[in-house]
Amino acid sequence: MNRRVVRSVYRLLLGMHPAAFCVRFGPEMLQVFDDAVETFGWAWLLADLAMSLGRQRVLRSNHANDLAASAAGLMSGVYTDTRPPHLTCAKLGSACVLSLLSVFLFNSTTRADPPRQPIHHHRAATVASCCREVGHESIQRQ
Amino acid sequence: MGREAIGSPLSNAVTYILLALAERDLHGYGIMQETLRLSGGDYKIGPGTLYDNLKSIIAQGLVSEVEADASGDERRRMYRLTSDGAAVLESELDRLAQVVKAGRRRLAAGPAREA
Repeated sequence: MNRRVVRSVYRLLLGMHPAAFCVRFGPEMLQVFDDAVETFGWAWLLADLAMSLGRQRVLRSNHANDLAASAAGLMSGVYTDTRPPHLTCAKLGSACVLSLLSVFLFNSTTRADPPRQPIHHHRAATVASCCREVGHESIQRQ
Repeated sequence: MGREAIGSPLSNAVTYILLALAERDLHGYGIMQETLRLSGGDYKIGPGTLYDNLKSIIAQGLVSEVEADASGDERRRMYRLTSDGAAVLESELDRLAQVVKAGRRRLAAGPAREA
């Protein structure tokens, strides 16, 4: 895949992390991505970031993150909610999506592409005979 | 702060991060490379896992940020093991040594296994 596209996807996933984390570690993580993409592989790096996002959003969404976000909200004139976060359906849903994405990406990195098998002769013959039978039936109906 | 806050035993990721920083200060990618080297290529840590854990252990005072390296790239921060971090790592290594010792003793005392 095009490295620029992968980097954009990585940046997008990074942007979905809690704001405080993103501001503090985002530029550094992008730098590390650039350094590590050759050695570690883009799919593995994306899967790792997706899992990190799941952990941060679902498991480690602590009060400090919300306070950091609400400080930005005060600056931009948005009502702030400083109550401690709780588990919601949206969080559970995003965790499920991220888990599936991670599994898919890990599978794509760890599983070598199997050699392409030629179509089995027996299977091809069965398909051909079925087609012939269907053809006969349609002729008889006419 | 320290061991009580981070929990015991330490996770693989935290153990390897502390181990990587035990010898010298490193930046993020340096920690990833050192972890790969220390584990003989068996354990990889990605930037997501690394910084997720770094955030926690910095907050707990086990690791601190130091001045950027000589390359002058401000994005590339260096990390240093604190004295609390060294104590936590020492305690974890003692725990692991006890596990290994107990495991070897029990294996030696158990019935001989067929090959």
